[in-house]
Parts: sequence; structure tokens; C-alpha cells
Amino acid sequence: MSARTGLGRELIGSTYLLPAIIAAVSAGGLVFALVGDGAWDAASWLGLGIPVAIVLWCWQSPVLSSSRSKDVSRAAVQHGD
Amino acid sequence: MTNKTARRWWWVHKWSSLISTAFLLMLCITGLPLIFSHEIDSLLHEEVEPREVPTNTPRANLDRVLATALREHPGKSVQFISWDKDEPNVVLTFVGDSPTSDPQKNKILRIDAHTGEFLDQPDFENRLTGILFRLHVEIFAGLPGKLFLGLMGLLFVIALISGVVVYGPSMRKADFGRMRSGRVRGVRWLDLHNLVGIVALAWMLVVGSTGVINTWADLVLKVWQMDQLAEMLGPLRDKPIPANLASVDTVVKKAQEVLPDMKPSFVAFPGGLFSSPGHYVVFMRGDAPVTSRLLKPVILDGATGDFVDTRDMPWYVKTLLLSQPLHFGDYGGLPLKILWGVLDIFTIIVLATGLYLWLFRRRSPNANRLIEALARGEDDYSGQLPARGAR
Repeated sequence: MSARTGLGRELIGSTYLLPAIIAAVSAGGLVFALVGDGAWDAASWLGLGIPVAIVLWCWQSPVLSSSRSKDVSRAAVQHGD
Repeated sequence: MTNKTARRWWWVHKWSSLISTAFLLMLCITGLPLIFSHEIDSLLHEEVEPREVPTNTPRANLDRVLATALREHPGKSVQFISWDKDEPNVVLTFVGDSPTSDPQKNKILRIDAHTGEFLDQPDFENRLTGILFRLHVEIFAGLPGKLFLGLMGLLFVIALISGVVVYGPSMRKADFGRMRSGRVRGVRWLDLHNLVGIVALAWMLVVGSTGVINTWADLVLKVWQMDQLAEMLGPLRDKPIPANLASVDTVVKKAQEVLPDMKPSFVAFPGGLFSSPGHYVVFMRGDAPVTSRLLKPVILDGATGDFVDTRDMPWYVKTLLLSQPLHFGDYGGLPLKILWGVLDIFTIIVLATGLYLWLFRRRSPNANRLIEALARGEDDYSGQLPARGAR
């Protein structure tokens, strides 16, 4: 990762990348059912179901993500600073 | 981001949230059952069902429907009739004291669309969902209440945007969705606040801002009457309410001849909120989810029933009409409503954890420094930790 400034890291690195993808998927979920019925409705359920699933998944595995994030952040500190 | 700008965004996030939190919590809690108001109503209240008829049975003449309503309320005036997409065999008739009386005081009569017979007059106002609705929309304070809640909604949108900005520094050195456990309780609340806040962001932004737009509905319709409707009527706009109204059945049939691909959604009688004194306005709808919301008005003379004009709604009315489904979540079947409910609960979690974090920081100066350090993305805060159980 070449961007060492804070802004560069935020945009290119992972901080805002995943949230942006999730926001785009949710936006699709919000719009699809407006366009039509049937398959369009199902696309909406999927689009809004994904963010719900992500929250539930992260929530029920706190220990796992805790230890992982610690390792990653330690590594980031050593590399970056 | 410099330290100074970061601090400014923090300030914005803190105050926009703090001021609006109590009202947002009320809106989320009352909004949750309102998502399912149809289901709750049919569970709690018995309704007289319209008669089962074979398909293609001709519909009752609308003049007969009108006569039925006025037989129930002699001497009163019908202000609107409308058709519910979910109840195609019923005509809803809105009866007021006069053509210009406050439409919120209208009696709503359900009338069989085929036989033209009176079914019942549900007291929508005083049902559980009706009371929740008035609390949710206007905190029982009419238009001022509505506009006030709109302001709170605006603060909520600002809190969301500033929240995104401070999310970056806060999560700079962390994995997405990190949920630390076994440390200070405040840390867990911060992780939960960050996770749920950022994942539900798009939904909260859309439902929040469409809610704000909905609070301007009364004003938007007033502007439409003074702007497009007045323009369509030209010099005819000052015509008084006719003594003898043209047959509503003829009026609706004419509107359908003008726009044969559309169906009537509701009829505004002369003098009411959605018409002019001298004219009927028949609002026509399409069949797809979007076009069924984007109503198109057909103007007809109140005395003769002659066609006057029809135009697409201006952008500001279209925005309002499309804001409604995006706020209610009623356009994608029951699964979408359930997702709406879950995301509403997520919003409550974001609000509650945000409030808790603020209280936590106030109660303990150590915790304050800790959260600030965490928010700046400094992971090594061991020197600033208050001893566990010290509080």
C-alpha cells in the first residue's frame, strides 16, 4: 500500500471501501422494488438483506473479529509509522 | 484531515445527534408498528367485507356511491373519493361538514364498489395505528409539530453525514466490523455504534431525508395549487363552487377517456384541498410501483363536467410522491416491510449506543480521554484506561 497519508489510506485502504460497497448494494435494494414487481421485489430483499446479514454476522462473532483486528492494527502500526 | 477539522466534525456530530436523539427515538419506536399498520389493523379491527362478485362485474355508478354516503350523513359534503390498491372492491368516501371544512375532520365511509351499498365507517383516527400515526407525524401538534419533526429529521441527516466523516479516523487502524469484547464497556458500545451506523447508513439517509420531505407535504400541495393548478385554470380559477355539481360518474369517465392507460386513484371535489372552488380534479395513476405513485391530475369543470386540462405534476410534487413509498417501505411486499423493521431497530441501536457513549464520557473524565483517543484511531490507549470496575 503506497498511500501513506491519512486521506489516501482512508479512500484506497479498507476504511471506506467496504462501507461504500454496502451503501451501493443498499441503494439498489431501496430502488429495485420501485421499478417493478416479482423479481424486482426479490432483488430489493437481497439488496437490503445483505447489510442486515453483515451486522448480524459481525455481532455474533465479537471475539473472532476482536483478535483479528488487533493483529491487523498492530501490523498496520508497524508498517505505517 | 487535520486535528482541527476533525474536532469540528466531532462537534457537529455530537450536537446534531444530541439535540435530535430523543425525537428520533420516538420516531423509530412509533414508526416500527406503523410499518405494519395494515396488518395490525386487520388483526385488531373487524371490517365489513365487500360482496364477492365474479370478475368483470360492472362497478356501481359513482353517483349512487355518493348518494349512499350522503344518506348516511344528510346535509354534508363529499370532499374526496378514493380507491385503495389493496382493496379494489371498496370505494372510500370522505365526508366533511362542507366542501371547504377541515379535511382532517372528515368521516371516512367504506362503500361496496359493485353494489354501491354502505359497508362501515371505521374510526381510523382513534385506532392504535391512528394515534401512533399522529404522534409520529406531528406529535399531536398539527402543522407546527410536523415542521418541527422535519427540523429534527434534518439534524438527523446532518448527524449521519458528520458520522461518516468521523468514522474514517475512528476506524483508521481497525478491521471493518471489529467488535472488541472483554474490555471496557464503552469500547464495545463504540464498536457497535460504528458497525451498525455505517452498515445501515444508506437506509437511514434515505428514510430520514424522505421523512423530512414528507413533513413539507401540506406546503408542497399549497404551492402546487398556486402554481401549476392556477396556471392550468387561468382566468377560470376564480369561479365559485357550483350550486349543482356535475355528476361525479361522468367526470371520472371523462378523465378515463383523456388518459385511457391510467386508472383513477382519487377524486377531489370542488373547493377542497386538492382542487379549486370551481373544478373537480381526478388524480390518475399507472400500474407499476413507480407510476402508481406518480399521480397525474385531470381538471374538469365542476358544473358541466367538461375537460379543462391535464399535465404531469411538477418536479416538487413528484419528489414528494416518490418520497412516500421510500419512507413507508410499503412497495415490496411483506419481506421488505420486515427488513424495514429490522433496519428501524438498527437505527434505535445507533441512537441508543450514541447516547450511551455521550453519557459514559460525561460520567468519567478518563473514559472521555479514552474514547477520544479511540476516535482518533489510537489503538494503544492502555495508559488512559480506567481500571476495570472503577466506575
